[in-house]
Amino acid sequence: MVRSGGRERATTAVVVLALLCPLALPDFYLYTAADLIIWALLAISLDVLLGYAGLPSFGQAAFFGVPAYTIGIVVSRGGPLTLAILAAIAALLVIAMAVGYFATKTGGVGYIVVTMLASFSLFQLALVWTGLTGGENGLYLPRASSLAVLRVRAQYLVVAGLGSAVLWASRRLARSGYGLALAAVKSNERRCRALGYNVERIKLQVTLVSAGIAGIAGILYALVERALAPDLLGPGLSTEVVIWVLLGGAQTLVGPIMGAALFVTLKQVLNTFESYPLVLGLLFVAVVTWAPAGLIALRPPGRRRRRSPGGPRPSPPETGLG
Amino acid sequence: MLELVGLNAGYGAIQIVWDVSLTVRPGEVVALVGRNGAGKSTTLKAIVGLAQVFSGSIRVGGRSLVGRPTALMASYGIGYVPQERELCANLSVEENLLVPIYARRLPRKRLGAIYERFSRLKERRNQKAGSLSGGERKLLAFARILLLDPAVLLVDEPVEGLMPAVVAEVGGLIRQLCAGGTGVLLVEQDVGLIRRTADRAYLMSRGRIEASVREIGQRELAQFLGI
Repeated sequence: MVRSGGRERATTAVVVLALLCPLALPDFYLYTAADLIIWALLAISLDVLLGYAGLPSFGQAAFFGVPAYTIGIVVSRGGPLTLAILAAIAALLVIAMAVGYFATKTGGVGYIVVTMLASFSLFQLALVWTGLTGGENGLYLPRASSLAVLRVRAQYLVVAGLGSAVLWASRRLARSGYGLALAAVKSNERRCRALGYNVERIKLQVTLVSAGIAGIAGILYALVERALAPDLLGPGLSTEVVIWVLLGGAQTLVGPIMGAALFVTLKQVLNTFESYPLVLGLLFVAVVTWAPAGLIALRPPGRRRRRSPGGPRPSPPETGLG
Repeated sequence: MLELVGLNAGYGAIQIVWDVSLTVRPGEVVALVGRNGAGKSTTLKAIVGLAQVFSGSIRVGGRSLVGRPTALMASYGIGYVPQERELCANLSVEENLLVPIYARRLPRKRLGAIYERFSRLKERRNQKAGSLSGGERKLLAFARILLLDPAVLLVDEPVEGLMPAVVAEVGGLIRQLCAGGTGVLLVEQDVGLIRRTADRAYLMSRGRIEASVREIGQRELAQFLGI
């Protein structure tokens, strides 16, 4: 669990900066910052699941894309936005319950397989069910049924406000008795059963919580970006989220935000080069090799903790990925 | 009271425990003695639902435990300290103690009582459980179960690999527990500990109870265990 004062300050700094940005930045950067917050929310959703509960989801995009697409489907058929949001929540609940039930039932590697299959199946469904999803062309939300009716600053404030609230709630969860139960289940599932925990129920609950956070990100994405494509449901995005979390540092909440921001920004900066995936891949390999606990565990040379020559090395947090 | 009648149990298609019947009364320490592979640990696991029960009955205070999920055992008054000293190694000593408190929604003040009893754990409250010595880990495993105030305690080889001083401490702890009315089913191979703590013993071999003995003779025990 996160307890260090440094991380506490880092979290506060991230939240304050996110809220202050609109006062100083021009509209273009505000739009980019709102985009990054949405991806950060998706990263937080996986950190709650993978970092804190040790459940390796490779299908997080399903929880992101389903509510986004539901909004797109409803509003593109002339439905009101309120109905679209309610339908998105209902669709998310159904998909999260179904995926969560089967993923926790199978457990272990089965959790990876079930979540990955869900993401892949929904991606394929979005591609082939063109009448509903627009197929490869995707869907486009009309301006009147999105946050585009607001000024960019107001849009940003909505996204930053929701993002801060989710980060705050996630931190509260991680520090609560429930957070301790998650850490205990991650550390020793069998023992937790003997001590009276219903491990399967806890796993299903945390899958639903994680799906809820990813769903908020998906709904915000639909309302801000307005353009929806099958990739938002697919294994590509699902895998990328895992990379964000591991890159930044699992079980820290702030680390995955950093990982998402760095990865997405680098992707945008480098995508003029044909071989940019190779650069990103090498970056990931370098971090996993030299900073296995993620970028957040790196300290400036002058601030390294002293330890005795024979003392224990700090170990990276367990992620459930072996 | 814990009562097993005609218990047959094992894993999948493999039967390990054959027709085992035993009783543990309140305030009594009963040892289950046998060589490695005799089926002692499987008997304990069958009681808490970690091994499959093929037939027979397991009752605590008249309530049947067969087919009940492991997560409910604590609420039925069963405490289980496994052989593997299963702790949450990444959590601190205090967090390990808080796990059962949150699980059973117990008052947090029980933590203070545990720290009074185990001063060494209080000293190491912020230390990771994985960095404790073998003896301290065993004490933590006991302390965590004691928080649940079990009516029946199942203990699987509590002193394996521990120093004699810690063995004596664990023995004293078990006697204290039974003095408070807890029934203890102790799986052990340490002849000294069995003689000092157990009121009676069941001798187990090849998955079956061979004999029930009231007077535990050191020589007979050693002979049975092949020491």
